[in-house]
Amino acid sequence: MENFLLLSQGIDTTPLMLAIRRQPELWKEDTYLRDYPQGPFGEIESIMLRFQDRSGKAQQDALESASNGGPFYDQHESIDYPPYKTLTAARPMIMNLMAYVGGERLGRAMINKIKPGGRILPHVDSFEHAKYWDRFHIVLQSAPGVVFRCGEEKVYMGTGEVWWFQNAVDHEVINNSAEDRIHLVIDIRTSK
Amino acid sequence: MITAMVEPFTSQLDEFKGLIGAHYTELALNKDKVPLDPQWDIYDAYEKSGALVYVALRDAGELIGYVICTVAPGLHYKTCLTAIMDILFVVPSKRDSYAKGALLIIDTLEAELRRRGVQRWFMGTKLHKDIGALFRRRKFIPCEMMYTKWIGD
Repeated sequence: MENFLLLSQGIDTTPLMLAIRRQPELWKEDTYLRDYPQGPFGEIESIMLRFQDRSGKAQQDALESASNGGPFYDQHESIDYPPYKTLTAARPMIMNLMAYVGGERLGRAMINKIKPGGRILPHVDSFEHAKYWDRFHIVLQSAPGVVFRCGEEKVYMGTGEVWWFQNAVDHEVINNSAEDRIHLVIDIRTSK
Repeated sequence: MITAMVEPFTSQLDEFKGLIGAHYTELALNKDKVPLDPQWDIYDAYEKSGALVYVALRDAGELIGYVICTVAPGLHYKTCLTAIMDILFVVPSKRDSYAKGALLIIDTLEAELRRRGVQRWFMGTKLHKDIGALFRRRKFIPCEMMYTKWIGD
């Protein structure tokens, strides 16, 4: 198997799942991915923990910086979003993974939910993004029937498992189970 | 929606046990003399050794079919990695005239066997419920017929 690697099993996801259950409004607060024009995520709900600054301030600051001879805009820079403060159980999971894989920089972190019968359509992550970051999944909730395809390979990722996968290759997810499929998705820069 | 994929076997045995009874009732021979009594520990050992492939067919999470196959070098052809079907089943209520579920199982199994480098692959069918047409549709050729005779009395 070339496009998937199982890193760990038996992670206790209950504290984070409990925190999410107690703040269900978080699923509705940020629809950026779901609403992305012609994007592959039209059937998912997301909780953004870390993502690029979409306020425009980062770009403005970068423009000013560049005009003064400073650094240009860093497309890979992510910032903490409010749910990262309130879903406190996510932080140790992310930081433990950072330590485990020898991470040098933390990028995006988001919790994605696909309802039964839903799917993430086939797509390839942008070249620059996939080249810079490694993509990891911590499975918070899943059930048999979820199909994760990457290239010609398919895996079932069980609850409590941690996986790396090659997001530069065409991939899709089909939730043919009776449960919500909820993954914590994390981008980490590692030594290359 | 119906999907098929390679899944772990022993860790999901309870749901499998829910189907194999119906499978036995429909297809097994000599049921008055041979009760269904799988050697789960042997299946477990095969899986742990990497010699077992299990493809599950699901509809909204529900297990509606499966195939189990063993993968090993041939007993007298040790250079030939060989896959041999153990059992194949799709619940009757999920069968259609196109045999979509069974073909999905076969195609998924073929992809996995190819990935593992299997060279020769055997599938079988009961003659009293012949599904040989499915195999021929996937370019299998008939190669052998088995005979059975009860001598246990």
